[in-house]
Amino acid sequence: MRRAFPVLLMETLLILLPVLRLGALEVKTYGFHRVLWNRYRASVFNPQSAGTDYLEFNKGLNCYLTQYAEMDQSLGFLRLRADLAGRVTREETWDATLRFPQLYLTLDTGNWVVLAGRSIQRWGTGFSYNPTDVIGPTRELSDPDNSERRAVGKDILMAEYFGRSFSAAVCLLGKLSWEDKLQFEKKRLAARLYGNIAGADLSLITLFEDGHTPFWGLNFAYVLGDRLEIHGEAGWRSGSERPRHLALEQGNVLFIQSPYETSFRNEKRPFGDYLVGFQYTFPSDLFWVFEYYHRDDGYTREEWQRLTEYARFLDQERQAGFSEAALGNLLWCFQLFSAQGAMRDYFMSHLQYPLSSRLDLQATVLLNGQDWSSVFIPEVSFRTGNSLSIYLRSFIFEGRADSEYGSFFQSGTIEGGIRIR
Amino acid sequence: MRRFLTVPLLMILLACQNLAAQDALDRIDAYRVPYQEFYLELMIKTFQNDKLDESALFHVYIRGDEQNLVLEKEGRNRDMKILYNEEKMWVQLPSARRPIRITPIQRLMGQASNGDVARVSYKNDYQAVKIGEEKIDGIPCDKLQLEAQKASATYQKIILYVRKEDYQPRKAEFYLLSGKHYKTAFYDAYQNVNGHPILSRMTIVDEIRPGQKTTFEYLDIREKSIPIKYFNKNYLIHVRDL
Repeated sequence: MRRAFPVLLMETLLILLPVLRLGALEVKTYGFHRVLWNRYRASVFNPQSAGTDYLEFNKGLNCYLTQYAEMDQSLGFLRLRADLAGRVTREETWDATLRFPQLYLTLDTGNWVVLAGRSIQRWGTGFSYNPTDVIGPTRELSDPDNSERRAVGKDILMAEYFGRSFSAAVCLLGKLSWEDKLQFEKKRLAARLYGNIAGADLSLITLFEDGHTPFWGLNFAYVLGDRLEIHGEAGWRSGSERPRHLALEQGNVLFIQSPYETSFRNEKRPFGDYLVGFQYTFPSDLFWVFEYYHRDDGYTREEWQRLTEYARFLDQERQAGFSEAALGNLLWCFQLFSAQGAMRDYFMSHLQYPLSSRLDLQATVLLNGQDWSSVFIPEVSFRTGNSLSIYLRSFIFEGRADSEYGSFFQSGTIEGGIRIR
Repeated sequence: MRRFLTVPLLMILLACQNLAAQDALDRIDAYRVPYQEFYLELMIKTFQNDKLDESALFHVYIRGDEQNLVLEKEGRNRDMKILYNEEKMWVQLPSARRPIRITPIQRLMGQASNGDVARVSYKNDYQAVKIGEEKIDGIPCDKLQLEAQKASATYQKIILYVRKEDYQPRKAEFYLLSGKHYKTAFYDAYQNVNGHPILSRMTIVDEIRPGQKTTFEYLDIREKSIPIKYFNKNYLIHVRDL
C-alpha cells in the first residue's frame, strides 16, 4: 500500500488537472475503476491447478483503479499530445504504475501531418481481430484484462498526406530505449495507401522488417443500404511469425533449451490471415456485429490434440517425479496458450441493445470454429448522467475438457466497475 | 385526336409540377444552409414524458452539400466524431481510436439519427413531388412527398409540409423502408443569419415510442473556411476545433 500512495496522490492530481486549467493546455480526464474476481479451474494445461498454484494467482478479489489524463497543447502548426495513466492494482499485493500510453508531437500543415513519438494508431476495419493492423498495439477480445484504455502506443515516426478521399502514410516503427545512449531498436517500415473507390474504403498495407519476409495486407469497408455495413481484412506473408510448440515437431519430450527460440514454423510458403464480417442496425436499435476469422498458421484439430496429449504427458512426468523440468514445460504451455487464440477458425457475434436511454445490454460470443468451445461476454451498463456509468461484466469460458476455451485455466470472471469522464 | 393530346399535356403538367417541387427543395434547404462553408453549434436535448433525460452539445462543420463533420463536445459520447463525406459516413469513438463505417439511420441519441445531425440538405438525397395542400397550425402549406434517391439518405420517405408563400418548412413526417411512420419533426423557430431566416429550433417526436421527443437548438451559426483534409476519415484522429 505504501508503494501505491505516491500514485494515489498523482491520480488525485490527474483528476484535478482540468480544474487547474494550465494555460491553453486542453486536459480531459477519465477514470476506470473496477473489481474483478477470477474463477480458476484445473484443466489440461493446469492439472490439479499446478500452474495457478505455482504462479500464486490471486484467488480473491482483484482491484484496478486507473486514472487517465489526456493533455493537448497547440503551438501553431505544432501540437503536443500527452496521455498519462496512473494505475493502482491489487492482485497479490498493492502495486502502482505511472506511464505515458501516448506522448507525441505532430506537425500539421497543408495536407501533411508528421507525427513523432509514442502513439496509438489503428489501421484495421475488424472488431474482433485485425490482421492488417501492423502498427497498433495488440488487442485480444477474449482476454478479460485487455481493454483499449490499457493499450500503450508504439514509438513511431510517421508522415501522412491527406487528399479529398485518399491518404498515403509512411511509418517508421521501433522501440525507443535509453541504455547509455538513446536507441531506436527493432526498426520496421510500414506504409498504407487508402482510397475511397466506388463508395468502398480500401487500404493497401505493407510492412518491412530486417530478417523477416515482407507483409502485405488489404482491408475494406462498404455500406449497403441504410442499415448494413460489410468489412474485411486479409494479410499475407511468406512464412509464419506465430509461436508454434516444439512438441508438434518432436513428440512428447521435455525441452531443456529455451522453447521460444525455435518455436516457429520452418516453412516459407505464404501464410494468410483473413477476416470478413458485417454490422447491422435493426429498427429496434439492436446493433449486431458478426465476423469470421481464419488464419493459415493456427493449429489444426490434430495438432491441438497432440498438444493436449503433450500436456497430459507432462502431468504424468510431473507426478512420476520429473517435477522440475515437467513443471517448467507445463508452465510454458500454460502461459503461451492462454486466451490468445491458437487455432484456425473463429466466429464472433456481438449484440448491443439500449434497453432504455440509460440502460445498455451487450453480449459477445467468440466461438472456436474447430472445437466449438467459446467465450461468452455479457455486459450490462447503467448511466447515471453524462459523466458516470456503472457496469457489470462477465467472461465465461466454455467447452469440452480438451477444447481450446474448455482447457483454459479460468472458467470465468465477474467484474464490476465505474467509468468516469 | 383529343385523347392523344390530353395524355402528353398531362405528362408535361405533371413534369412541370415535379420540377417546381424539386426547385422547392433548393428553397427549403436555404432555411438550413446559410453559407457554402460554415460552422454551427447544436444542442440536442432528449425528453421522456416532457422530463429532460439527457443533453449533448455538438460542433458541426459543413462544407458544401456533401461534407459534414460533427464533434460531440459535451454529453455521454464526449469526443465522438461523425464524418459525412459524399454519401459515406464514419464515426470515431474516443475509446476506439479508429473510424468505423456507419449507416445514417443508426441512432445518435434520443430520436436523433446520425443523419439528422450530419445531413442538412434535402435536395441531394431526395426527389420531391407535391401531393396536396394542408393547414399546419392554421398556416396554409404545400404537402410534398420526398422519396430517397440515394442509399445514403437517412429516411426512405418524408412527407414535408412547407408554408405556401415562401416554402418555409413547418413539419415533416419520416417513414422507414417498411412504410412505418417513424418520427415527426416540427420546425419550431427561425433566426436571422446573414440576412436570411435560418432554422434555429426543431423538435422530433417518436411515433413508435410515445412520450419520447428530442429538440435540436442551433445556437451559433458562422461562416468558416474548413480545410479539405478535415473530411478524410483517416484525418479524424487529428481533428480538433477550428
